[in-house]
Amino acid sequence: MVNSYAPENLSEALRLLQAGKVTPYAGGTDIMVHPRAAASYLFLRQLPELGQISATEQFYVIGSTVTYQDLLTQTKVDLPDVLLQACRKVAAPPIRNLGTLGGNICNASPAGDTLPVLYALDASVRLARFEPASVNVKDTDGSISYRLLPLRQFIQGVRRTCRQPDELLTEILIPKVRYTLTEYEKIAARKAQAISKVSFCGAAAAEAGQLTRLALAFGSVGVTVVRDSQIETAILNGDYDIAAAVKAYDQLLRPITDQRSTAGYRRTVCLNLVRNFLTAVLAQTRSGAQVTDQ
Amino acid sequence: MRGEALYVDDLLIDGLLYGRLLHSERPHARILAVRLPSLPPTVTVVDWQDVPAQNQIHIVQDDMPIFAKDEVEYVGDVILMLVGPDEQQLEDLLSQVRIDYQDHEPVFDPEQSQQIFFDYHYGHGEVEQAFAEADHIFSETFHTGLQEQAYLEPNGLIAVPTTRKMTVRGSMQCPYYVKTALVKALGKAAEQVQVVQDVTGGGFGGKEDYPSVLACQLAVAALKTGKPVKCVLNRREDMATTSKRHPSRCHYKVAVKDGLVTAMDIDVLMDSGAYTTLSPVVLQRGIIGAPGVYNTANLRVHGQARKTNTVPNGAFRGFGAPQTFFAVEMMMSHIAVALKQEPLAFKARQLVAQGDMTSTEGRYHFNVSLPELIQRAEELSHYREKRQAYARQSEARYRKGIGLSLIYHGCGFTGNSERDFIKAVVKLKKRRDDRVEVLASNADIGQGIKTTFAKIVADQLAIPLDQIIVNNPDTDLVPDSGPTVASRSLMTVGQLLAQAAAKLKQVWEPGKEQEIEEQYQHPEYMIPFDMERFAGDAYPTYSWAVSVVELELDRLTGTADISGAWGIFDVGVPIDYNIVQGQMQGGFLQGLGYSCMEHLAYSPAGVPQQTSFTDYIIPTAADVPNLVTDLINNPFSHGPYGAKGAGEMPMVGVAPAYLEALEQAMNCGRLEHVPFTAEDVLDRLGADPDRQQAEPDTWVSRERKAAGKPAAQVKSAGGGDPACR
Ligand SMILES: Cc1cc2nc3c(=O)[nH]c(=O)nc-3n(C[C@H](O)[C@H](O)[C@H](O)COP(=O)(O)OP(=O)(O)OC[C@H]3O[C@@H](n4cnc5c(N)ncnc54)[C@H](O)[C@@H]3O)c2cc1C
Repeated sequence: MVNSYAPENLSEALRLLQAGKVTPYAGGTDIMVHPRAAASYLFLRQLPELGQISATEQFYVIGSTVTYQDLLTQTKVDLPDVLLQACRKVAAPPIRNLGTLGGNICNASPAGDTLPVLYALDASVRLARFEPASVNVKDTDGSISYRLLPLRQFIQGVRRTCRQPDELLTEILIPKVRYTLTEYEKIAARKAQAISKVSFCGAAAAEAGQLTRLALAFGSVGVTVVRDSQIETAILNGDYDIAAAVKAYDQLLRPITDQRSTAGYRRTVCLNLVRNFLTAVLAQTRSGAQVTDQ
Repeated sequence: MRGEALYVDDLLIDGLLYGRLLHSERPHARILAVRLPSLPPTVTVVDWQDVPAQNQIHIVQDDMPIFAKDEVEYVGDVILMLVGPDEQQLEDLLSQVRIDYQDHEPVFDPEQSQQIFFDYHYGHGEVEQAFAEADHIFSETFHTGLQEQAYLEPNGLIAVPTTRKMTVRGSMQCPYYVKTALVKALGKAAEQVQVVQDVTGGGFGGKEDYPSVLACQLAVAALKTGKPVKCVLNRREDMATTSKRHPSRCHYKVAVKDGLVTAMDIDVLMDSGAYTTLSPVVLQRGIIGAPGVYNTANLRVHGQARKTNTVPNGAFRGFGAPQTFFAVEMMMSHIAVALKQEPLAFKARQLVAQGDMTSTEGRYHFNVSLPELIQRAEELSHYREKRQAYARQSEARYRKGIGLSLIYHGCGFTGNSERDFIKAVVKLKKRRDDRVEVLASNADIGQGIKTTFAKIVADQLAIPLDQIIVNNPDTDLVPDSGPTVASRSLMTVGQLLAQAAAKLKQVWEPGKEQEIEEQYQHPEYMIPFDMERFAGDAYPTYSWAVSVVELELDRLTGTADISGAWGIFDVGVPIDYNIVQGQMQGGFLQGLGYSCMEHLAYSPAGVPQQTSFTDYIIPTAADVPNLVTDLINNPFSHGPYGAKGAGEMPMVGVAPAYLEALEQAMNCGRLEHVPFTAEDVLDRLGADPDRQQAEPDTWVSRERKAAGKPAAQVKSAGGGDPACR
């Protein structure tokens, strides 16, 4: 007989996780594609600690079990529009009602649709584990320890993260940065319920005719989302014009051919999108320059 | 919706065993040895040695084995079945079976295949002379791809043996086809075999031939074990091993004189897959439709179906017609563009009309409604206006296009098959309580035939609809009124039911049991079809359709947003408006999938690559939010209440409309295959936007010059098309 668990709070969940072989289960939309009869699940959606959306001075803070639908319908926090654009492109309403941001991250698929956005916006993840404290301490908050690390470090490969078996992802933190231009593109074989062939997120900020920030992230073209700070810096510093930047990405990207698309197509789309985005960024920066000149 | 329907997977029977199939992993090989793991006593192996009579499945011919004996011909060919009480255990055991193969060279390309299964020729007029006298000669080659039916539930059946008979039940379109196959395989008398259709969630042709295959395998297993045996394929297995739409290559050579087509010389090649199954009939329908809806005084058509070591291709909505109508519509559109004419205007000048000769020297006996359909399509879509406007677009990221196609669908079986082979019979059985049961072998597979049959009978008898009973067909109870195929059920069998009901009304005696039988009569107006020469009336009548697709192409990603889609249909008179609308919308959507996303390919080892709904992409409603389907009335004198065939037609004309729209949006010359995916779009546009890609100059045939005759006036193929951006 297999047991599954629905703990009432985070610390109980963490202790169950530490105690034995249970699989964290948020929306289950990735897990249930390949259900295992013998699996024992730790349900997370009922945990109040993981379901909040808030904002601090520096960060948007999104609980790991917040669903796409929650993100799209909540009105409390003014979340970055480019993230919501990505959420709208995930699957179709039934999956958006169940699937969570934390699940998308922990599943670590190269085709996870929110990942390019989270990479581009420099998101971090907070992980929690239960610290067995000295003998007579009860399950208070004090017994949970946290670590915070950049998403880029957290995801290590195809379906590989550096989450320890006794850790839960509790929150996603997105720095509050003002971008003047953002873009999200999901390219799939149909409009709903499709796995991305390519996804792209660009975010840029320009001030007084100067490009001050730039992030370019590509999904489904590598084992993890591809983002390259060297190329970004070279563009920011004016070392690369658009053609040079596109050429640099052409050399960087190593897409593959599989049953969903071809390497050539993926590469061409990425280069077209990055060229298009940089052209828009440049136009915006220039017009900003003109405005300040006047 | 009550959720009461029981599909075959829901049915449990006492003592039920399960069967799991062992499929060949090789495309073409000799079986040297079968190495089984040690089997528990509850598990039985069933293979060719257990077949009591004939180890070939009767479909049209009898060439596909029930269980492969010495040779396997495609990846998926069934070698044996393991039967036992626990499906998971069977799966585990199957994974331990080892087959020693001796590989032969497989053939995957029909062009390379030496094995011609079927070869047909027909035509009329003076083709050579027409080409000699032509102003222009155009030739071009088109390709269409595989397509998977993607019905709601996979194929599945149960075979139940009793001392007196073998019963097979489950998901199917054609109970009597299954019965005939079983009688031959088991060597039993007809009355010892019973076939019952259970709730079937769609077939689209995919449950026309395949259930005969699975039925024979299961019946052999049930005979051997003496127990009922069930097998429901899993989705991957179903997609990887059961029949699909035939890929095709169509070559057209067309003569034009004084702005009109004077001759067509057409060569059609269909990929049959490993066995013949339904290929002869698919090919026949395909080549009969090859000249499209145009008067072609001089015509030569050659069609072949060849063997490859791939899944046997079979029936799929449209049955050979989507392939050739795609080709001829693209051809006509391309010629128009080369002649600097608007495609619709060019086509409209040479449409067939009532009284004209068909491609097979038959007659269009009834009103050809295309002009009316075109007018309605114009009103709804503003095709001409948009076509002109989109020709003047800039070379921006997003570009629009609109395309239109004209097609017919021949209603019912090809040629004399209804008269010579099917000989449909229906019965009406009035019970003592004055309720009337419809006895016909046509299966409701989601197309609503139970409703429409009941409406016809109730109306004829002038009794309430709920007094009519239509059960799923059971060959012990219903006569053979033929299969559920070829858009024939309502037109042909519905007409028989209308006649039977009219007779019953004449003799109606309240409170008495009464039975009326009605038999098919071949319409006397039909010109008998000569199967050798392909001459005569191929179909009793035709349904007509205009399809329009409007799209916006993103030239950076190669993806297209379908911003508008219109299907205007003449199905005679719809017996049930909502049902017909459902068919038109669903069929149109299937046509869109065929046009741009339903890509299915074999690996170099002959293994289908897209065998799940994650990878084999069928469209959803989100892909075509603005789909308008409309019907006109054009009553058919020999159909019930004027109804003609409807089921297949909506699928047939979508691909050429889509591709014509895409051509306009791409502004990059002619397109010649479906599915035309986003990958294909970017390939064609050229990876480097700065590189100009010149229009290849090979399209216009220069044969006449070579022959030393006066040169046809050769127009640039891309007539007015700027080179690729
Ligand atoms: C039909 C369908 C369509 C889909 N379409 C898309 C799509 O368009 N785009 C897309 O990106 N994805 C898609 N997906 C995948 C999936 O819906 C998303 O990845 C979703 O975000 C997963 O969230 P979940 O809560 O359901 O994850 P779950 O299935 O519950 O979990 C996924 C993995 O993460 C682990 N996990 C979850 N939460 C935590 C946590 N808090 N701490 C530690 N580990 C955790 C689980 O153990 C599991 O390994 C689709 C899935 C289906 C079934």
